[in-house]
Amino acid sequence: MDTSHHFFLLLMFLHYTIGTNTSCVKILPDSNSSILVELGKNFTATCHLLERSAYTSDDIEWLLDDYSSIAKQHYHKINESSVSVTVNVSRNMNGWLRCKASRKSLSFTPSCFYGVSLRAGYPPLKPENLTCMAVQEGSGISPYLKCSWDPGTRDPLLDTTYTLYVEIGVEPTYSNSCKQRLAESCTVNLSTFPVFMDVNVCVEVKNELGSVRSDKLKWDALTLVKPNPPLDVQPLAEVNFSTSLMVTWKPPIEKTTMPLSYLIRYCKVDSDVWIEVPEISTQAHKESFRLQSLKPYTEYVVQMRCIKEHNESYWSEWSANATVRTAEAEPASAPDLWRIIQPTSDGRNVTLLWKPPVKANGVILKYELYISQDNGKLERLDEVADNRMHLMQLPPGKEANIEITATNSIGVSPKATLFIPRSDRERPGVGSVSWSVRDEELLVEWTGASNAHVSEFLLEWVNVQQRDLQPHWQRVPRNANSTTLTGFEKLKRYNISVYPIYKHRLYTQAGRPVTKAVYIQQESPEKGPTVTVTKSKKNSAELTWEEIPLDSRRGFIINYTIFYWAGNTDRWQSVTVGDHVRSHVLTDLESETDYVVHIMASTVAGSKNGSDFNFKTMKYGDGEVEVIVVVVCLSFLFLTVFIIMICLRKKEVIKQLLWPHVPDPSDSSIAHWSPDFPVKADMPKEDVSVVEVDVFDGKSLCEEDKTVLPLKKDKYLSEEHSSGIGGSSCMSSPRHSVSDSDESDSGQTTASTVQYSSVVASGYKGQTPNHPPPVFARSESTQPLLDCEEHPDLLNDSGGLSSRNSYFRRGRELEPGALAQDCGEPNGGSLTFCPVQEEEASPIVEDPPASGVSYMSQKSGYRPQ
Amino acid sequence: MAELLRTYKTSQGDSTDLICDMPMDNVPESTISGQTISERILSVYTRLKEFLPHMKTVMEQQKDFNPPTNPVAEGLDMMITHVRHTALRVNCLLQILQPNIPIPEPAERPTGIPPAQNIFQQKAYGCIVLSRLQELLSKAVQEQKSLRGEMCRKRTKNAF
Repeated sequence: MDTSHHFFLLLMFLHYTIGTNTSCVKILPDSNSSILVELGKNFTATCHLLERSAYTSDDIEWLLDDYSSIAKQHYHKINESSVSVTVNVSRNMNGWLRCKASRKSLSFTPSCFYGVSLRAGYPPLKPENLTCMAVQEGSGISPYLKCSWDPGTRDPLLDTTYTLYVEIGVEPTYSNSCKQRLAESCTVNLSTFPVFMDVNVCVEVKNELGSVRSDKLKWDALTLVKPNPPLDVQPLAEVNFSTSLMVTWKPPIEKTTMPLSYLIRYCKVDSDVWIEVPEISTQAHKESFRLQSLKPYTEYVVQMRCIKEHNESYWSEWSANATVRTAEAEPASAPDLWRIIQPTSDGRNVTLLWKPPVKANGVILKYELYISQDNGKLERLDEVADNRMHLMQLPPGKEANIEITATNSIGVSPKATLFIPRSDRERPGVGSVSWSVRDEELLVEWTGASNAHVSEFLLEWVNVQQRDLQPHWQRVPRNANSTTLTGFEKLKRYNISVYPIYKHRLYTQAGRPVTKAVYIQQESPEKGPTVTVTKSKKNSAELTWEEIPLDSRRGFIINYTIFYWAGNTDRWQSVTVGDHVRSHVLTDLESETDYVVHIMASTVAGSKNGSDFNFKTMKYGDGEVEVIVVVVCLSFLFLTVFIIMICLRKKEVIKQLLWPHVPDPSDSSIAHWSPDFPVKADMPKEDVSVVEVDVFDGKSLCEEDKTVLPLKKDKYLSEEHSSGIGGSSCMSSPRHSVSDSDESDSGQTTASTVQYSSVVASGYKGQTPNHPPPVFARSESTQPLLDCEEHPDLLNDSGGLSSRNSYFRRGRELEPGALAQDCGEPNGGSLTFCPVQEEEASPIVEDPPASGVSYMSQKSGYRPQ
Repeated sequence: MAELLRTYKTSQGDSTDLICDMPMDNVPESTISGQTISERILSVYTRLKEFLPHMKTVMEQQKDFNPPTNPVAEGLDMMITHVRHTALRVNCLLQILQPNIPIPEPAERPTGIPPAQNIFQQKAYGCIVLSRLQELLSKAVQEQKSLRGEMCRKRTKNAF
């Protein structure tokens, strides 16, 4: 089953293939190769049904290369077996044209096909504008003649051959073929260029659709020659002929072969404006020519070209540049003289400047400068050519006339003059000056100078960022009120000054200048200003910054913008201030807050931020601290006063509290008791004894008082004023409170005050004295001790007593309040005690036996005896 | 032409100047004869035609001496063409001047130089041919200038 099935399919395939390849139609015209058809023309083909065909003419269909059917209206039925088709050839008809015979209805009859290949194109067009040229080769003419033509713009779409034919006399025709669509030129080798001969030239264009010839043109062969440029073109300058140049050359080709005429052109170096000498001046056989009306000492470039005389050939190319400078002549114009006046403390510094003459006509060898002050004698100064500056002093009250001439090898220039008036006699300047920039050129305009005496204007500009301040200047006519200046550096600051120039007799005089600062181009500053905070307060801060250096400014600063923000936030604030501001106070700041600030400087072209600066506002405002201090002090003062007043008011109470009433022995009943036996004999004197252990010099107080006390009055005062260590002066041990007193003082004081105590001095609060501590042994007696018991003879000594009294009195007089305060101190220290009150001492003075009894405080106060 | 002669002399070695002045019978003279303008032009034409076979002979000899592309042979080839062209132009001029008088063509006869020339004789012969041709062409240029001057004078007279 499978085998038979496959066999059946193979038969079907063979039937189909044989059926499709077996054609029952044929197309005429037919060709083994492609049939060339001309685009735009009608093409007719006929399809014939062969005899064995089972189709009729109605079954014929024409198809193009892309199997698209040709419309039936183009069909023409010739007979039952032939149908022709006529089509207008277009570009899309390249390829196959097919004839197909098939039935429209369902049929098993295979279709018939036949096709012919079409190739569409155009026949060649006639070449136009035929020209030929042969170039010079060495000293002769190249035998290769190159002819060019206009082939037209229509592409023939077919291979096309252009054949160039050249006929010379009776000789065989020379020809060459160039196979190229739309070829525009072709070259033919003539073996030898036919000098003096006529040549006939034509071009034939041929392709498969036809051929066409150009017009045959006849030329004298030499008219087709393009000679080389003239040889050895040399312009020569001649001394004493400063306005002419002799130009010599050699003909590039033999004169007998090709007589030439020449064209000379020349121009100044660095100029592109050529001046041509009419060729009639340089006709055939000439080999030199003199150029005239030139400028002295000027470099000229000369070029030449040639052509067959009567312009009967092609022009040669221009010769190479030949450069020469005309000879020198005497300067035809004066130097350009100018001045800079700088006032000084004792006069004027005048700097004379000059430029070489515009028409120097040679190398300037020197300048001769003539100066006279106050119409005095002209002083002549010779300046070398390289020096174009002269410094002079001119007092403000003097005027100067200046003249200058330039000299070259031929002669002297006209003189330039300048008059410098007295300082107070300067002529007026222009009204106002404005400027603008256009295409990197500076347009300067000025007004208010229509003065009849103004002869011209002078514009001076100087780069203020240069150290030497070399000025430039330019003069403009008097009828101008604007001019354009060039040569400015970008981002540099210039000062432009406009001077009216007056004619003063034979001299020129400049009026007062009007100066403007300009930038030819601005950009943002190179760096921003550095800000510092000079005063930082609670809610404000004063910022200061320096002006940006001129080299970094790069434009006019139009304003400064201050940016500041609290360091812990990103919320910044800004303040814009004018360009002239150098300090600013920021207000409404938060107290005790870190702030960051920077300043942005702006020009019209951009801005630049300065570096950040950190500062912190104060916690307290102005005066707050002072108010607090004053309040605290006042409060303390009031409190103290209050306490003192209380102490004074309650003195008796305090006294009662601190010093309990001690009974007066003199008022005791025993004092008034009169025994029968002598009392004194029974007095237990031995009970009142003083054991004095004095480590010091052992002098008694009274002896010391006699000599030292008056002298040490100040020292005592010092002792009493001193607060002492560990207590007030009255309560502390004098030995410890007067640390800087001499030993005698200490000894005296101790001896005079601690007479009834046995004291072991161990230093205050652990401080160890340098010397062995004094040891006082207190009597075990309960009787009151007499003052100065060991020197009873001094009790009646008023001097010693008075000094002693004064001592105690003074202590009481000084600080009654302090006394009360000191007495109020519960912890006065083991060695502190209150001085004996005057009230208590007085009875002692009045009653020596009784007065010798007194009570001294002990560590824990006074114990009633 | 002068350059060709110079090239020739340079390529032949020393003492060429001497041999160029040697007398040789079979080389055409450089003289231009005749009384009238037509006769003198015809004389130029005849001389040019006489020189052509001699130049061809010299070129053949030079091709034997040196490679065919040597400068002398190339110059000679170019010069032959120029002489032929010039002769043709002169012929045209004669036809213009005397359209009814046939121009006698000199016969293309052999040069008359014996074939058995040694190298020295060949060099001398070539130099003599070129020297005399240069003289002829120079004279022809002078003749042309004098003719032009004469024609201009006649034209100026007629104008007045």
